Amino acid sequence: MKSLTIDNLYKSYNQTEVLKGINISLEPGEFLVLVGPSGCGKSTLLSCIAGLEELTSGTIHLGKKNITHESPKNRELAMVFQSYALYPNMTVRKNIEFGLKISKYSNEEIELRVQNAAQMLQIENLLNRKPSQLSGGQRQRVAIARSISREPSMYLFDEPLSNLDAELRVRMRAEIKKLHKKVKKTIVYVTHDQIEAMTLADKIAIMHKGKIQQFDTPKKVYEDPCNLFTAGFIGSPSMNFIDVTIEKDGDKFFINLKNENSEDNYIYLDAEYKNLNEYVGKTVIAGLRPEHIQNGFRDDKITNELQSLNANISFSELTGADAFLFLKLNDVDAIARVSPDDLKDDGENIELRVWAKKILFFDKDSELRIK
Amino acid sequence: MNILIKDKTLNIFVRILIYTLLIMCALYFLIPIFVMVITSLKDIYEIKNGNILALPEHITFQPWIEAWSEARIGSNANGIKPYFINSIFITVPSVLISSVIGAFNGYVFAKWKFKGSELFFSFLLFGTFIPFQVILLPMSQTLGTFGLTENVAGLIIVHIIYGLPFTTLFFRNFYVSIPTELINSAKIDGAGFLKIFLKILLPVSLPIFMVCIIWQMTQIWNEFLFGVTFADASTQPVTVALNNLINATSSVKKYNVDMAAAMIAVAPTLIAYIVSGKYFVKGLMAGAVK
Repeated sequence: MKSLTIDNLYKSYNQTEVLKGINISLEPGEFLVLVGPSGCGKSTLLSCIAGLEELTSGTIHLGKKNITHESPKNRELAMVFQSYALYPNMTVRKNIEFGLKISKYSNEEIELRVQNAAQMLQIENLLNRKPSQLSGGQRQRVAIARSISREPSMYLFDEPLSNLDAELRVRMRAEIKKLHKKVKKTIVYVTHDQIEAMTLADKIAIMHKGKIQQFDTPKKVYEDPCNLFTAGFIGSPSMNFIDVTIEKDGDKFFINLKNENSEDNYIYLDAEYKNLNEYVGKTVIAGLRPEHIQNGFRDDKITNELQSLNANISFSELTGADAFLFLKLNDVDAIARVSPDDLKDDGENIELRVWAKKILFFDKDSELRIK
Repeated sequence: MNILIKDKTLNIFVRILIYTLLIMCALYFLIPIFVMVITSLKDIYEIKNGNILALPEHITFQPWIEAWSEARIGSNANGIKPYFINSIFITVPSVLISSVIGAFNGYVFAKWKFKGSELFFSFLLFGTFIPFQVILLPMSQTLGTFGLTENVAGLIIVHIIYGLPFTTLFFRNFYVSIPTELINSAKIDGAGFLKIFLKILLPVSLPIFMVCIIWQMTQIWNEFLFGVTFADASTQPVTVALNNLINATSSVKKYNVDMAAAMIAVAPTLIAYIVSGKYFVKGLMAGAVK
């Protein structure tokens, strides 16, 4: 187990800056997920950590060792690629042995490691097959087994599940999580799928335009996003962003969410906002997660924190456990995540509840969170 | 229903048309070979008195024997056999060496890009457009300077150099289609520049090697201009010998011997195409190793 420390990493290709000052500090054995839309630089960052790309400036430490300019093979790490990157001309066994042979381990040691890795990923019966004879899921297992056999200090995963179908992806996701619990090694995992990020990570780094927007635990990232991008990126369906004007009644802030019929819904804000005073009378962006607009909150403790919201259902989508209601609030589309019981028809009015304490506010210009 | 039947008859009609056209084309292209084969099997008397398209009355292999080992070419009467062997000595090393170097070049251009490698590659590609005639003089001077005009080594070197732009292009395009993740994975596994080439890329390169070998073999075996310019009487390739045989004015025109000699001269490339034709097509189409 080794910690990973990245200091002020910059990377540019010719004139284009791809990574603009990345700082990451990861405790030994932590699972870090780099997540962001395509082109945000997350894969480049992973390549820099792996040593496949030379960085422009900054340093990378694995444990106490400075690996900034170390060659990939001397970095004590293993990598699993999106396309699995199995050597097509070699059997599964040869694939796993390849790196071990180069590292000049004894034959017994190699055999032992192959067996251990194969056992852990349950691919013992595939050892003599060629990659072309394997299914996508099996290939991914082999790729992971190959990385395990190297017994590295750190694992790197580059979108390892994106080539799998939905069902398999969920299964492999659980297996990777189990694997992490078993090997207890530091992992850096790149994905564009925020659900993968939420479920796997100890720490999430949300990247956008070559910068880390927020580096925190999944829970913090979800509940306490630092800016508009982070808030919108994590969560599915994503957070509703509605322009509102902050008003004040005595010492209580309130906002108005007009529905489609232009009826006012005044929502009083219970939570403490120490910086909202300077925004009174101004327009800000209110962020409400769909699950905070409901018809029936199950938690009794919050009943007195709920406020009513009359809305008109544009249309609804039933997902099984939940139904998504599409509403118009202040002329913007918004989604409410409600229980599908006693659901009303499209076009009808419905009385919903808003958990006002959970509303977040963002500055319209800087897009930063207003606390 | 009616439309379906109509479609079907139309389909059959189109098919007949296509096949007729194809068969006619095939016949048109086969006639010269047919004439060559039957002429080479007739004796000279029959050729002079008979129809050019008529089948031989008495089949004789004497012209083939004569062409192979008895016909007078230049000052020797040893047939085209020694020149055929010359051609083998020229073609085999040129094809192999240019293919191997091309594979290596292609690997570098595809997977180890360096500063200016694209420009370098464009320059190399430019080599595919240089006509043979342009380099005749400078090349003969160069070969003369290095004393390579006396043996086949000179011709081999010319063919290797001339083949490199093509072989490099073939291999580079093939290796570009191989996912870079494979190379990266091998790098992390600890494999170096050479090991990645030998253990990862070469084993999957058979189709493109076939393309390269057939291409180079056809080019080099059939090549005439360099052969006639850079080789002396004892190191001439078969193409030059064939030309000398047919253009010899000393005796009566022996069409049957000429035809047999021509057949012998084209045989290797023909056989190569027939044997490995499917690899050629596969290699040209190749992209995915998935």
